[in-house]
Amino acid sequence: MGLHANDLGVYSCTSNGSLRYAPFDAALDSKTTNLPIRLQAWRMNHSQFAYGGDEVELSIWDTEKAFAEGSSKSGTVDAPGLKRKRGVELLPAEIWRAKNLPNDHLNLRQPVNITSLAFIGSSSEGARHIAVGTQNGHVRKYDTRAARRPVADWKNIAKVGGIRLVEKGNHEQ
Amino acid sequence: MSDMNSELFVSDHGPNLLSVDMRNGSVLYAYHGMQTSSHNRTKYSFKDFQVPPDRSTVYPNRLNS
Repeated sequence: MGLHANDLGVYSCTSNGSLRYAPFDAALDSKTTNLPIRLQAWRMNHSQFAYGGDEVELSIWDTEKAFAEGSSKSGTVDAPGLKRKRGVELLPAEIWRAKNLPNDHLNLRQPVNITSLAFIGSSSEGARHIAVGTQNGHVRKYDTRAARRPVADWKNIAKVGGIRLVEKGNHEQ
Repeated sequence: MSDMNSELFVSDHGPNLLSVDMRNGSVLYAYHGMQTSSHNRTKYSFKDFQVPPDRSTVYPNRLNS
């Protein structure tokens, strides 16, 4: 589901939350850590990565801390087969986590179904700006320094079957 | 916001590819006839690729052996 390579190795992430780092150097062992299940999007940006999925809110993690926690007994990550409980505090390696939209006009909770995400800020900004696509065809923009809720939510961008992929464009202001 | 990249490419599960302005969410331009990868697999096959008439220019070692 998610794949990223740098000069030292390859990161891979599966939909059941298994994040693995495989170094190119055969003398080094690969490392694995657990993330929430039902992931549908995973992206890496420098020393951080972000993920989202079916009832999994957008979350940003520190890569080094994630594997450090994964090497020990990780009792903070949800057990396999269980959804993450809402409203809990950040996990040890977690830097930031989004908050769901407020209830709709019928006071019903809005579903979370992230299908794609992209870091859209310049590299000097790190992971500040993130664009997210949803199964409902919405595109949301998050500013991690401004709020936990999206700073923009544009509905019905996709016409067929929800958002498949969002990717940073070439045009800059 | 001015230092932020303002264009986002968005694709759906159909043949649409859109360029979205991240400042206001408007669609700058779009392609509505993009074939999906599954269509590409069914449309193109090895039979569609033309073999050069003079194969000696492509596989000289194989012909000599």
